[in-house]
Amino acid sequence: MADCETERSQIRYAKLAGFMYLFIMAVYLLGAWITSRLEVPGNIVETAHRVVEDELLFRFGQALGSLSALCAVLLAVSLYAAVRVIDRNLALLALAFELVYAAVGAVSQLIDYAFLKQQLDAYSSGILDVKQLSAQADLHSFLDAAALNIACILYGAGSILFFYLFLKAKYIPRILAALGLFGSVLLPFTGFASIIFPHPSKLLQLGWLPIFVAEVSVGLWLLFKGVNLRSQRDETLS
Amino acid sequence: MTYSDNEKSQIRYARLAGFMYLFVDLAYVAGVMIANRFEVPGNFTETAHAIMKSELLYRIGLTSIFIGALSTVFLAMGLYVTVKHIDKNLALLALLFRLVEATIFGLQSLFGFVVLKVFIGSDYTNAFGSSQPAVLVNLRSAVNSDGFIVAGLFFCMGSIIFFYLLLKSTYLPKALSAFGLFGTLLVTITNFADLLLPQYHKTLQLGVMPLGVAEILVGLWLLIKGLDLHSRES
Repeated sequence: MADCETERSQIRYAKLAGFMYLFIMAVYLLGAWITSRLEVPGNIVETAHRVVEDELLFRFGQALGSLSALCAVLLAVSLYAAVRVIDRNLALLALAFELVYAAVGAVSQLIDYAFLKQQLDAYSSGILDVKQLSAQADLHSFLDAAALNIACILYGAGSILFFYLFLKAKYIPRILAALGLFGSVLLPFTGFASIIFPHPSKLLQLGWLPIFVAEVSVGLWLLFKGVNLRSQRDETLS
Repeated sequence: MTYSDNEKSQIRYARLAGFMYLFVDLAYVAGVMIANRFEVPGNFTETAHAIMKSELLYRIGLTSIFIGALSTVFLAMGLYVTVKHIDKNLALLALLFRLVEATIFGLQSLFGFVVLKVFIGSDYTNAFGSSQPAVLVNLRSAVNSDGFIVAGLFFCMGSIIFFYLLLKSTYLPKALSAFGLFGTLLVTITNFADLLLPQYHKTLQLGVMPLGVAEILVGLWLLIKGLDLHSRES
């Protein structure tokens, strides 16, 4: 009876994880799309002008970024609850990495807000000239890139463990779990290469592609098909 | 003497913790040493020139500090699994303290990379001259040293609990656990003192020495000798 309850809870959390994979992806991409629409590359004055004109929309785009960091905690906890039966310690280690990732992501969003506020104030009051504003904007985008790389290393570490546990448990088709594992392993490589080398190749951005495909596929699978607990049960019985 | 699966896992995680004690210390010390080689105190232009000459090495230093922060998560998890049989709630509390520490150190690394842009970006110096970026770099140094102290306080809380549980468990020689506990208490006191009396920073830094030695000894012991689970049974 208790086992049944545990399994039902495991299935519920797996479905929540599936939903969160898709929700975070959608929220993050929408936020990035909104903010990028208002940004004019290489032209800080035009960007600042557009942001001041449509500040609410820009802030909404940024708030979506914060929301995705917040939801990362829900995703991590639901994945933990779905796979902890396989190896409680490894699942907890994965959860720990994802929590550190969410905290770093949230604080870098906070710095992002502060940067934006300072830039808009400087633009409106005319304290900084165009050259200075451009240099600040450059620093701002450098901060975003560094935060993204550090976050992707932390996220990748947790994701490797979660997908490893999915692969071990056979809760989802092995091909999906293996694709997720492969994509997760690429993330720290991409992140470290981007922070170590002064001029990283643009090809490195392709490192995001496998995990993107894997997360969408696994998210849909978990949401609609749930987890296959029978394979684990059969293994325990044998 | 045969061990159950749980005990075998506990021994494996203890060895991981031992390795990580040494690895985290090494990564962090190497990173700080590399980064410090470039800094010419009070001279922004000289520091910027030194970094521009060997940017890759400077980046390796910053990355090494970040790897130290990242590995703290493995260390904390290794210690958590090692001592959770003694008191699960206290072990979890210690794990959470160390996760906060890893987060703060992770953020410090982020600031390190951002300030790198100020050093290497000629557009920044062209726009602001050399005195204004220097103010930003000084601010970063302050964030770095105070951030180190604040992260250190979270580290201390976690470390005190882990060493207390190791002392209670008799998994390690009592003298070693007690030495670790003493070292951590000393760092807690010196960190608080550093926040209040920054003018004595250099003297207060000596307070880290006992803990440095204790961590290396405990790390080597856990890595090579592993855990003494017999004492628990007896």
